[in-house]
Amino acid sequence: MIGPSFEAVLAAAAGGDELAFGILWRDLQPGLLRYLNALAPGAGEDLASETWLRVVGRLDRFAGDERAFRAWVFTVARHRAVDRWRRSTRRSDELVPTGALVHLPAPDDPASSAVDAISSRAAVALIATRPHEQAEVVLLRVVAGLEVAEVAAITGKRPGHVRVLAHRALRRLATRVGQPAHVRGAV
Amino acid sequence: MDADNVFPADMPDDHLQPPVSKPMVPLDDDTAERLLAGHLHPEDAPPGYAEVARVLQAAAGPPAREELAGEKAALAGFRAARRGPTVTAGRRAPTGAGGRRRRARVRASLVALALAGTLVVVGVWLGGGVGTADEVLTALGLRSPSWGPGTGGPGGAGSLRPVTTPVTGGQAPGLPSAGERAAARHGRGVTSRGGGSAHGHRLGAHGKPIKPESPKAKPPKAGKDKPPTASNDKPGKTRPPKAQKAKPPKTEAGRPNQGSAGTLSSGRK
Repeated sequence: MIGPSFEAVLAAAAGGDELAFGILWRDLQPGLLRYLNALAPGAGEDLASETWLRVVGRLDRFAGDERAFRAWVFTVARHRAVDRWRRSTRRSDELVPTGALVHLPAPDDPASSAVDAISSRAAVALIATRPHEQAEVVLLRVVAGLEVAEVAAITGKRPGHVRVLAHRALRRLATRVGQPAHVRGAV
Repeated sequence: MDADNVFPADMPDDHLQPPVSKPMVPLDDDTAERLLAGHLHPEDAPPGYAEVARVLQAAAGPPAREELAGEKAALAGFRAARRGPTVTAGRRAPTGAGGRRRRARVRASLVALALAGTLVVVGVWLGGGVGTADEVLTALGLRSPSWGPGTGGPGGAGSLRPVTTPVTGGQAPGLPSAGERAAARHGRGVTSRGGGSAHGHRLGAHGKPIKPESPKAKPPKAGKDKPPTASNDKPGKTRPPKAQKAKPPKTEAGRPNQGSAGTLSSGRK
């Protein structure tokens, strides 16, 4: 988060100030990448670039505080991810994105590496092992730093449903990371 | 599945999980919210959730070096988007305010070109001689002394973009500028010759003939930081506006060197 100087930074960026835009970019890009890589593995950077292109084109029309700006940027990012997923879906009756199919623990189980190494990438990968809706809600709450109402608006869900998804994801994460390693990597 | 909920509904995942060695620890809403907000230290987390707190904190951790590696490209994209240039490969055209400004500039340039063409014809008729449209075009901001070959036009390296912005700043995709058409016709920068001849007589601002350009003379080069060459500049002759970065559009009243109608050449460029 940028803090009290956000409005000045945003106004400068909207006026073409590169330094100000750089501040916005550095503040949001890591979270964007983590979120988008979880939604669309391997395509996070491209989607983030598309997101920024759209954001820059509409920067001078945005009005709101920092939270609203973050929510807007992640909304744009989600739309890019959805558009890409729709383009990549070959069968209309395919309900599950390929990347979200059965997450069988692998020898390099993210749960193991996340607990031991606690890198952001491993942590996000572990969260991404949850069903898509749960993972998305947790990432928007944790990585994007958004509140329930904002996440609900972005995902098109009711706030109560967002809370249920997030809490369910946490309980499942606790179950997964709390298991012995041989159980985590057994299947 | 509605348009905003493309991702699949929450799948029952119990059958995918390995056997649980211990029952799930209940989690109250307040603790869950504190975990999600990053306000719960792992040491303060309830049993079974310390690791979850660590995972969530790691997920929200400071940026890694590779996550900020694309900053230069992002800034370059920002500059390009703010200029409203033609679309680069693999990227969409700027939309919104930038796209509107670009379209407005294109429209203004078309109007100015039509006007310049009219003035050229009138000038030839009134002046009775072969002059140059350089002064008029320059006055209208359709060219600058820094335009030159190799900076645009078909086959030219880079993109031809006038340093003085006014009516031709920015190009619509596929729409050649006045300079590009000139470059295509003459194989060099934006200079104009009357009557279709390569070295016609030209009249300066005061109606005096100007020495024609020799084939060896280098035409002015485009570029933001390059000063104008002397090929079209003669002592005593009013110089066209100096090339500058991102100049605002000029009004007719503010343009120097309008020149006289008698200095215009036939044809356009």
